[in-house]
Amino acid sequence: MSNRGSKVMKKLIKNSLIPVLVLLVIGFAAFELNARFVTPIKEKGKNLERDINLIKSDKIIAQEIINNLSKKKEELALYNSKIPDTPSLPEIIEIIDNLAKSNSLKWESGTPAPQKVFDETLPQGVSSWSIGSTFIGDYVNIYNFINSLTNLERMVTIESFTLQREQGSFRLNISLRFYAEEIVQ
Amino acid sequence: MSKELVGLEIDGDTVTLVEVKDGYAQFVRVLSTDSLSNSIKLALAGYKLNKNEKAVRVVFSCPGTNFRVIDVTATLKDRKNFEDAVFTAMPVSRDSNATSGIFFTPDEMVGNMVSKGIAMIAPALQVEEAYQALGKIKSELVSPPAVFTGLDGIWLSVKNQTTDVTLVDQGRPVAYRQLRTGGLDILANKVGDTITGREKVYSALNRNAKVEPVLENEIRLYSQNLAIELRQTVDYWARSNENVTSKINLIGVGANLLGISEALFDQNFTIELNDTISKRVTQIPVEDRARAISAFLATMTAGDDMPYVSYVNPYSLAIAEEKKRRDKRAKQYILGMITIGAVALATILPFIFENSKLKELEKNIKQSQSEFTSLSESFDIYLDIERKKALYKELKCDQPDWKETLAIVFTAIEEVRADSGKNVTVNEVKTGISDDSLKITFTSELVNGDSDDLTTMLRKLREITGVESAWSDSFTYRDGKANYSISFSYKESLLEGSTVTNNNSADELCLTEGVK
Repeated sequence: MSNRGSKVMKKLIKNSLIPVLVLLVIGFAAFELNARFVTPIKEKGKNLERDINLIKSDKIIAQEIINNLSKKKEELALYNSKIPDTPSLPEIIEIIDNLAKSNSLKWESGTPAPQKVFDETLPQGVSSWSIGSTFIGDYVNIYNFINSLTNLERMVTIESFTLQREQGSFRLNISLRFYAEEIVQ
Repeated sequence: MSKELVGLEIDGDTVTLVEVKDGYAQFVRVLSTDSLSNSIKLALAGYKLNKNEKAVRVVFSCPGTNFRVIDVTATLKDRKNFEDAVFTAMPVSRDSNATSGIFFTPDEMVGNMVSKGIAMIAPALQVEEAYQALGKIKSELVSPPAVFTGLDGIWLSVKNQTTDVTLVDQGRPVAYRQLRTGGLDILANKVGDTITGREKVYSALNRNAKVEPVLENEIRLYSQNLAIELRQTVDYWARSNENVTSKINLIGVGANLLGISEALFDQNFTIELNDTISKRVTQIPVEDRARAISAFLATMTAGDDMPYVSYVNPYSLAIAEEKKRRDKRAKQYILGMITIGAVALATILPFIFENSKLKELEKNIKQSQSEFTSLSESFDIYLDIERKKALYKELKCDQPDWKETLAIVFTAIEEVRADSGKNVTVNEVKTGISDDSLKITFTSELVNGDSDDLTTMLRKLREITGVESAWSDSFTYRDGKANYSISFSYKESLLEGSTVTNNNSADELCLTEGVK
């Protein structure tokens, strides 16, 4: 390249370098300032928009609840009876006793004492109690009794059972669990 | 529309300004103050010198000005080369002298062609001081010979500081000399101090004035010396083959000095001002004409032979340098401001926009929250339902179908009984959860039972939906009765396929969401 050409190139580089550097500085400064001052506001705005939308959808839900208040209260009552806020131990004994009687089963070992179970796998705030009971009855009664346990107004789960033939009847040893959601105020 | 032009002559601390209109001197102003700068300012007072107009030519006379005819080539068009050539021709200190010159035939300065020109030097310090005094006035400072181009003859200029003589031949100044006799200030210093001496000498400029004998004697001696030195100079030029004449163009403040004409006559000179020039200065007073001629010629030659004829203006170079620096700073400042502006635009506008949007959102959320407060009780019901539902789903929906295990056992037994016609009884059923499935073990008793019956029973079990595997734990035969202990694993849901008779919304939850 000729000397003149080299000079022209140098001048061109010198003349274009400064604007490029200035643009870079502007870009970098704008990016930095945006990141420091504008982006947090944007993020805050996004969060607020999300919260507003959540409140809106909550309002729709709340309005729907108001529109079907009695039905929803019934639904809540149903769930509250399934998993009450208090253990109500005598009540569960009575429920099982009534169920056994209605299926012509006899308590073999009298009224059992519920034992609190410390189970870490349970959801937070939920407590459970266990009852081990023995009943005497025929197969059909026992079948109906077990079937009915799944549909009680109070939620009861079966942990295990054993059925043994005994002089024309069956002896049912069953371990049951029931639950309460003890809400901490 | 013609416009007046001005030209200046600087002679020590005295400034002579001549205003020219249509080629005729209209007005002359002579000023001598304590400083050259003030003299120039006062001389130019009332004149608007436009920056875009031609520069004001200033004839600058100072002791130490020298002159030489030189050979010039195209390379001398470069100022540095020109200076090199001048200092080669005139061995004087480069640091203390400034250069100027005229190329007589600039069009012939091509390639290596040699032509003629003149070089002039003047003390650099005085040149710088003169330019400094001229300040920001666009000016071109030239030595006296530069203004006589085109005016053939001998030009004797008697000024305050110097007396110089220029020979012009064929329109070109070809010789120049400052006479040792000096200017009128030499004479003034002999009859008094700088101020009073000059006053006395100036009083002798009027031919009708009465002059003290002492001063008269000094003037006579001065004039005689001046005339003798001029004669010697002219003779020398004649010997050097210059085309000299006995006619003298006598100009300058000292041209009217008492006895000078006689002294020149004594040396066989005749005084005869160039006819053209003489006509051009008729509009100014007679007593000022001779001293105004240099400044008049400066006006008429302004811009000629530039740029070499003018001494380089170090002051204007400094000003230009300063201006360049200022421009650069201004450019940097503007660039900085543009940068800041651009950054501000790219940041502040989005910031303002996002901030106002945020404020609007904050307002909206407050409004929404206040509206929601009245509905919060109902929403709490929803939350309670959802929480309980989730609990119920977690605790209940994963439960195995316990009753179905009994049904499977007794169904299998009944089918074996029906197939074999043998009396089968179930003695014990044990259930328990193993891993993810139920494990059921039952013992049965079969009168006259055999291994085929066991196989049948296992096959029946395996055919039942939900039974993953079935196997025999033990088989004994005693007293005509076969005792089997059989186990199977079962993985069916609590409600799927079960005989749910009293469905409620809680159980529907397990069904609708397909939770096992």
